[in-house]
Amino acid sequence: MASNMDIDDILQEFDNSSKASLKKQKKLSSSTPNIYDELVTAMLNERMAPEILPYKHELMTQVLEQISNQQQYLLDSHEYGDLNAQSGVVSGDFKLQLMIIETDVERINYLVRLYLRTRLSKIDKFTIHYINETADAEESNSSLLSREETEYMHQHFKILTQLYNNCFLKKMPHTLTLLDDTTGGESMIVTPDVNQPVFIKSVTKAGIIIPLGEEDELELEENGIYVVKYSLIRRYIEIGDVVLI
Amino acid sequence: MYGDVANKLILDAKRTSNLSEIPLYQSDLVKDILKEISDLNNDVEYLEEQEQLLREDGENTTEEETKINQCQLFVTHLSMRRNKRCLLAYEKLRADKIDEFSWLNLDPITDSTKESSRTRNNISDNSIYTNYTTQLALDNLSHPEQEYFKNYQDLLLEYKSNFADIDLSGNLEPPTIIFIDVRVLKNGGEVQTEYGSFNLIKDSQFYVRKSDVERLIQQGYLEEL
Repeated sequence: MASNMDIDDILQEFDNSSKASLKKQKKLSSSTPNIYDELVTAMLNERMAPEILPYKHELMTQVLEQISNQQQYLLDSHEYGDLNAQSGVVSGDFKLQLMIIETDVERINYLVRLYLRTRLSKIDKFTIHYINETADAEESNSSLLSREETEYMHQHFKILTQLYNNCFLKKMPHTLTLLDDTTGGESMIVTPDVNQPVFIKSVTKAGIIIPLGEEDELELEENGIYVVKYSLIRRYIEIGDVVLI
Repeated sequence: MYGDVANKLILDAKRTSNLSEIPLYQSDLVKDILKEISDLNNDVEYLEEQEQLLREDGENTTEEETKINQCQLFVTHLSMRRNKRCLLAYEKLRADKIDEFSWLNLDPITDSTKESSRTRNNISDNSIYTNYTTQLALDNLSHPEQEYFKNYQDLLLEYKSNFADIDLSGNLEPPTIIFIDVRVLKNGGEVQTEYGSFNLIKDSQFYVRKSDVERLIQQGYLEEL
């Protein structure tokens, strides 16, 4: 029993101390919005939305910067650990701490990877549509695609067209060589289906009222989960009142 | 029947979409379809001439004759478009598979490596890679496709260089652990990691960081325990 008590005590103590540190963290995070949560939301929204969402310029710059900072820190710490390993200055906890940081970096790395890859897959799918869409967009912090993505899109389209041309298009009659053909009854440009139903969660205190046509409407309550057509809640995603899940 | 050849091509594409490699390029079928398209195009020209004649000869033509002609013209146009769509669909699927393979960052199979690759089926056993293009034999690609493969690899490299700290071609499964036990499956050279280096000697085991060795696992040098 005595040993049991001991463990309970330790747990209790750990609980208290972790709560204290949590409070501290909360204080910190209230001043700077938690970019980790933002990244998760951005990634999930991107994963679930049928069309590409505006690129999170600021968030991504921040995240990338922090990752590289952490990685530099890890490198430095490892060096420090190796240098002082013999002298006994470094405790066993030191390695563990580094491991934890590393695991976390790896996880954020994964989130970023998923975010960027999801965007690329959508760009690949709707290439011509987005080329037309972004044709007269200026490069700014609110543009739909990042500079790298725009470049990727145009380059990929170029080499794809080259492939088609070399394979067969150049051997066809001229009237058939267009790729973005809209004659003949059917548009050959693949566009995202914005009427696809999506699962959403409302995260704003104020209820959102969505008109469904024919005088019907749907009120979204906070933390409620709904299935709606994507096009209806599109603009609420942009301002962050609604998240896709 | 017009469109039959294109159908064969689509069947081939359908089969391809479930394979982990890209089968031989159907150059004969593609050639046949192109021939059919140019035949159809000749037909169109002929039919248009006919229509012109019919119109000039307005008094002696019945409504039925014009209708028949228009209908023929319409169907020919449709067949041509259908053939084109089939060709595009076929090529797009192959291009997509080439893209998929490029992301894995593996070496394609060339003549010299063909034999050794037969025995290794590591990745296709791995459940997350089912239906994924994990093998690519350069011989199976047409010339333009080989060129495209090279171009796309360059493009990827360029895109990835913008994100030096992120391993963009890494695993798309959520990471759970960072260190794993691996066993060496075949001999290779020395491998450098942040934590020092180790030698690839068959049947030896190591405890290493997963992200460091992911590529080696994909290439079949290592096996996760």
